[in-house]
Amino acid sequence: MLNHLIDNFEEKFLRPFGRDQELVKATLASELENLADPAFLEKDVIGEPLFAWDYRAIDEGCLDLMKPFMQSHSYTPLFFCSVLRDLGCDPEKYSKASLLLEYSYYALGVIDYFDFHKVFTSHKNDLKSFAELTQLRYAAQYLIQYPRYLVIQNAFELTKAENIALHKLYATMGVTTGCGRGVFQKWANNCFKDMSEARYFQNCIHTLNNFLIFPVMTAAIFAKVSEADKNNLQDGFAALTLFSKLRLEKQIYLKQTDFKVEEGYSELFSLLNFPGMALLHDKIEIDGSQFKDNKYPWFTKMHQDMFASVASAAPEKAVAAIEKMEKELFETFLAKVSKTKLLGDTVSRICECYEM
Amino acid sequence: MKKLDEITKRMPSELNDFYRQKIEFIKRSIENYFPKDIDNAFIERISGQSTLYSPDLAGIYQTIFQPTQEYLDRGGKVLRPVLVALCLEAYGARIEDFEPVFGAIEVMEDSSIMMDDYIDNSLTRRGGPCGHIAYGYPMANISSCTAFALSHYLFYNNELNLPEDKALVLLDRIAWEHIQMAFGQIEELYWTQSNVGSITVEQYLQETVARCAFLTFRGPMRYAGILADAPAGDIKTLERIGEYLLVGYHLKGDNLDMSPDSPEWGKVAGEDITTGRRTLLINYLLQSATPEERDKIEAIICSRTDDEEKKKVVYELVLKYNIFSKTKDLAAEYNMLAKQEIDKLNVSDEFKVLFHQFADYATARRSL
Repeated sequence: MLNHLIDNFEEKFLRPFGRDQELVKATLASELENLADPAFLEKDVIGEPLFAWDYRAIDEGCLDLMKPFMQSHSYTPLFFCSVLRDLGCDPEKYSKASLLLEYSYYALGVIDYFDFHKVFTSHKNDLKSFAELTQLRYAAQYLIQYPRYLVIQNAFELTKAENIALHKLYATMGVTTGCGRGVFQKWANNCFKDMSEARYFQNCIHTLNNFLIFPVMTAAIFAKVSEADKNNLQDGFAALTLFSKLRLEKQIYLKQTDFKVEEGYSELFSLLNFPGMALLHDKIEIDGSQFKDNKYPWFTKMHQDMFASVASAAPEKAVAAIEKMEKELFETFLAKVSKTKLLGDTVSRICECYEM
Repeated sequence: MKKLDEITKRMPSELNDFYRQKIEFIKRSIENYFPKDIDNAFIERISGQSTLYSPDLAGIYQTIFQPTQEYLDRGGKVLRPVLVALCLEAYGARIEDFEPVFGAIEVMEDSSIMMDDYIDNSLTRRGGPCGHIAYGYPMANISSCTAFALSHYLFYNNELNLPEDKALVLLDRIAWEHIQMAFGQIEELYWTQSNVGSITVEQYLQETVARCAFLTFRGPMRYAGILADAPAGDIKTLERIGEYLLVGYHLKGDNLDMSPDSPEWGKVAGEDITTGRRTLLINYLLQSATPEERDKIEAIICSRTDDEEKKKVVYELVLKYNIFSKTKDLAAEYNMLAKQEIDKLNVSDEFKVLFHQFADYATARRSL
């Protein structure tokens, strides 16, 4: 999804590092083989059983379900590799960290896609469909947890403090993205009536934590960046996350992007392309009456309605508000990162990507 | 919190005294650990990030904290924090030095049972509505997994100021437990959703240990052993005791699901049938039943029914083949194995008695 968040991402950001694509692809393919290999799992991940494992669960209970969600250009690991190189580290040494980034991306996709409402509003008490969704949800959960074996094994040859930091980063990524989604859900339940601009901005940063902040901070741990510099990088890339999100919104409003909500995957994209600024500034109305029979509205339907309204309303005030914010956010990004005197190449390529 | 007398009435006297001595301390720890009022500083503490704008504190509280808080407020038996206290004191540690641990363990427990509740499609827990009933499934899903993640903030922030090696060992063991839990979960859901009939007793027991031991009781015993600087050999023994106790505890729970022995149990009878769960009880029943009965049982299990009459058919077959006593015997066997391991611990006889009594309470005497 980084290609949606950063303009010209493939063309201007990734092109100089084509070899990383091969590295990430090979790493993910080899690790996927490991994930499905009982001998590997028993030796390196889950350990010998006290009784007996049932390895059928890997393919039939997890991978078969997750495969539709495991199609990706691996942009987050590629971004991670380029940041890593800019910090003076060899991406090859840390390529397995792609697993931490990529699998959490898949899993978050499932959590966003995972629309219980569809079952419980469309098919009353359909326990079988509910059970299938639950299995998918926990297949995703396994993919979130699985890569942590790399940290336990100290696969990246880090110090104890660095491994503690990696554990913490992984846990807090779960906390931020979870809090963001919780608040978003709460707003949806009230047809977004209690969403303010400041809350919306912070919630975008929390919700989209895994796209820019997580890879940069993972690379910062490997590159032994100081705590002060880490704080600046975190703040800088938080500003860039919001900048990118608002830029994408603006492009959608101005119909300058080919961002499409694909059939069957609408929930996957809902947080990224959510038209928050149009709701805040152009008074897009949500017809709550259609959800009055449900205690909790079906967000997918609400989302489709919002997009229809945005498409017809041409939200000019939202565009103006975003344009007012853009400069300030990008300057915050530049100021915070420049304090570290790190990531000069990354920053210059990001600057090149965006036409301000 | 359930009435103290109700909780402790089946406890032998020494364990009863120990429980009563610790309970107020544990309650305070939970209140301190999982605040009912959150501010920006707390959000930054649990998220490890500064906030550039104003987070919706009320929104975060209502969606992430409140659902778990409601479970906490209804009060469980807090067996896991009590067991942590037992392990710490058995190795000479002062529980006051580890005050937040008790809250962390109970928040982990209560956020994770919210996940169990929507997996099981349960209606009630501890006399109140389950998270997904009160808040809807999407919210319960996000809330439970986020509250579970943040319940570990004590450990990932190293707020006990442990030496690095000890802090890392704890985080590694917690991460390993999470992998185990997730693997066990996909095993169980695969069996249930795909109606897998060919599950061995060993696979069922392994799945139980993988899915549940992170909190019942291997995880808390291991963490307490590490915190109290128990000898390495004893930590291994504590882990094994936790696993054996879990088997006994879980088998008793399977029996209770089919036949609750108290209105205080707070769950609807036969949820395992409704969710199509292939418990050991069902496994044994299928082994004992005639082909015709087996077909009938399979049809009911596969139908995900909450029809009381159909559930009763299975229940009567369980009685006919005396399956309850079979699982009860196996639970007793693991209770005995746990006690044999307890006797190997390098702790005083006074604590061995308490561990034995805990084993009895958690398995044979489990009721609520």
